[in-house]
Amino acid sequence: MFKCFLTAALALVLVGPLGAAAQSPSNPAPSRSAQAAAAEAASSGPIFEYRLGPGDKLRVIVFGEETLSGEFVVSASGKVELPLIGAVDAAGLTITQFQSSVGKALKDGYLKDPRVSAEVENYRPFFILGEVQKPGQYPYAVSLSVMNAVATAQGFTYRADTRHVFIKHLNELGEHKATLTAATMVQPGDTIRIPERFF
Amino acid sequence: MRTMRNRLPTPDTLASNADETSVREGASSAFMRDRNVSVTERHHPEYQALGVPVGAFLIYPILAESAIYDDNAFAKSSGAIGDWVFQTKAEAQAASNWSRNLLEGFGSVTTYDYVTLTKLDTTDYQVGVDGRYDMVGNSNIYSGMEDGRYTVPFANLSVPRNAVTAEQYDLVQGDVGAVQELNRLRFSERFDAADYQYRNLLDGLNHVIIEEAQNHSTYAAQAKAEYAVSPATAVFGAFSWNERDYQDPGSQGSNSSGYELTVGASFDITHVARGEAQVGYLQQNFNASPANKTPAKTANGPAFRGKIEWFPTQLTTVTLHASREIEDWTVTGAFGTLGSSGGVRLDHEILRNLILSCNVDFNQYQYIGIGRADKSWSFGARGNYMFNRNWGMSLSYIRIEQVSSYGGLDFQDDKISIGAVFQY
Repeated sequence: MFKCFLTAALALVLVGPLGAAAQSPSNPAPSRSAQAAAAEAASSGPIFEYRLGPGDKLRVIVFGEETLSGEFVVSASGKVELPLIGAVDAAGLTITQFQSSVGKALKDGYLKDPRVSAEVENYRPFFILGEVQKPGQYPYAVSLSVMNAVATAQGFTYRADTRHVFIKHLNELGEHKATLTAATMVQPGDTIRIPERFF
Repeated sequence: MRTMRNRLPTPDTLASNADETSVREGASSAFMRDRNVSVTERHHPEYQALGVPVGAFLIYPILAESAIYDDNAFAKSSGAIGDWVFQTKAEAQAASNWSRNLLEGFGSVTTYDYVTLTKLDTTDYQVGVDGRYDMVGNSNIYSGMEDGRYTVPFANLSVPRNAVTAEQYDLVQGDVGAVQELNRLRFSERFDAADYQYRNLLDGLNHVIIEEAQNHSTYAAQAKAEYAVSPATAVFGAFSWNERDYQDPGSQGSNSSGYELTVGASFDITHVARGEAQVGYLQQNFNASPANKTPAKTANGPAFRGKIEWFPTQLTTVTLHASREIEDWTVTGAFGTLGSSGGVRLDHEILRNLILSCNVDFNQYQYIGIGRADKSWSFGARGNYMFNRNWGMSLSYIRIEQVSSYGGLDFQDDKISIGAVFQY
């Protein structure tokens, strides 16, 4: 009886490390949620990285510092006025980059280990005109495509050229012509024009 | 029955006739054919006349002026004479804006002023009223009356070839009808009466050409029963009877009576096509003419009538039409005219305020009792442009080629016109 117990204990001791070695950091077995994320990333197209611009409304939270947290708007100069640290550049940065920038500014003489999180509460609106039923200004939503934008404007008119679109981004001087597909995306602040067809 | 159509007006056709079974606005019906909108019937509010509100009516005044060059004013086979003619049309349409029932009135005066061939100058007029009384559901009764004077173009071979003045006739006509719609069934009945009185002409020697032989009255009764197979399709059977009484039967037209029995279908397929077509049999019995010692005649054979609109895109409408029926006019010595026609027309909306059209039509006329047959082809192209809701212009070209089994009656005629229209 004692010999059986000793054999089982020995087996456990030997198998455990071998199993751990099979799951070493150099060759980890992925979890189910991570597998799903990897598959999704592999099948999806390029990830659209939103960059902040004037008019965006941000929610900034500094953990443990309620007086430093709140809602802030990116000004026309592209900066965000934050308590304690003052104006922080935001235009042209991704939300992750902005978080890092604010964290660095707080760490520089104010907080020991600031934990900053930020998110866009309201994006810049987009504008759509031309051959749509209801031209105008509409709120932007993440991953908005031109087709989504047209649907928001209640669809094409009967004279719309559904194969092309003219888009002017906020930082551009003029519009450019693009082929209209389901993957043609809209960025906040864009002006979209649906042209008229003649045949 | 005349119904207001707010579309791009043209200098010479400023109102259109609606189907006599049109339902009141806002009503739903298994027989509505409004899934598609043709180019010419599409509403453009920014280019439509607003009208002048007068009580419960809207008045639409219209003034149109056209300059037309006709290179063969008398439709001669040789020695064609061309001339410019200025057509001026002043018109007013009035329509009620009630939620139920309808009352419309119209009146117009048209003058034709030739630059050189002043003997062809004429003045036409037209005045009339239409009404519709809506009953339960989509059932209604309607009636209309019209009085007018019309000029017959020389291209119509009923006009004497030796005339140097234009042929005109006075027309008084009226109609009364009813529509009953019960779920998928619809019954339509209609009675029409018309009286034609032709005015005398002058020949090259200033002798009077008496046209009283063409004076006649026409009476017609129609009945139609339809069944809606689906909201987009319906089948129907129709029967019509007619009687024509001539003031001087035998010289140009004979008293006759006849009927037409047809079956057909109507359909409206979204973004594809819509239309109505019917086929059947017609028979017209012409009375003997003791004065001319000619026996009675009968014209019979297949009858058909149809109009189909195809919508290749929402900017283009192709319209096909065909018919075979007894005409209301004829030539000297004939009992009557059996006409067969067909054609295709293309309308394209280049811009919201610019419509281009072209058409090809074919007509064949068999003159009962004299063994003569005429064929004609016509080709047309036009453009209508509206500057704004008040001003517009048009440019058109039409060519007619006529071939007759009788010698000396063939001709070719080209007309080009440019016009302007003002509406309010």
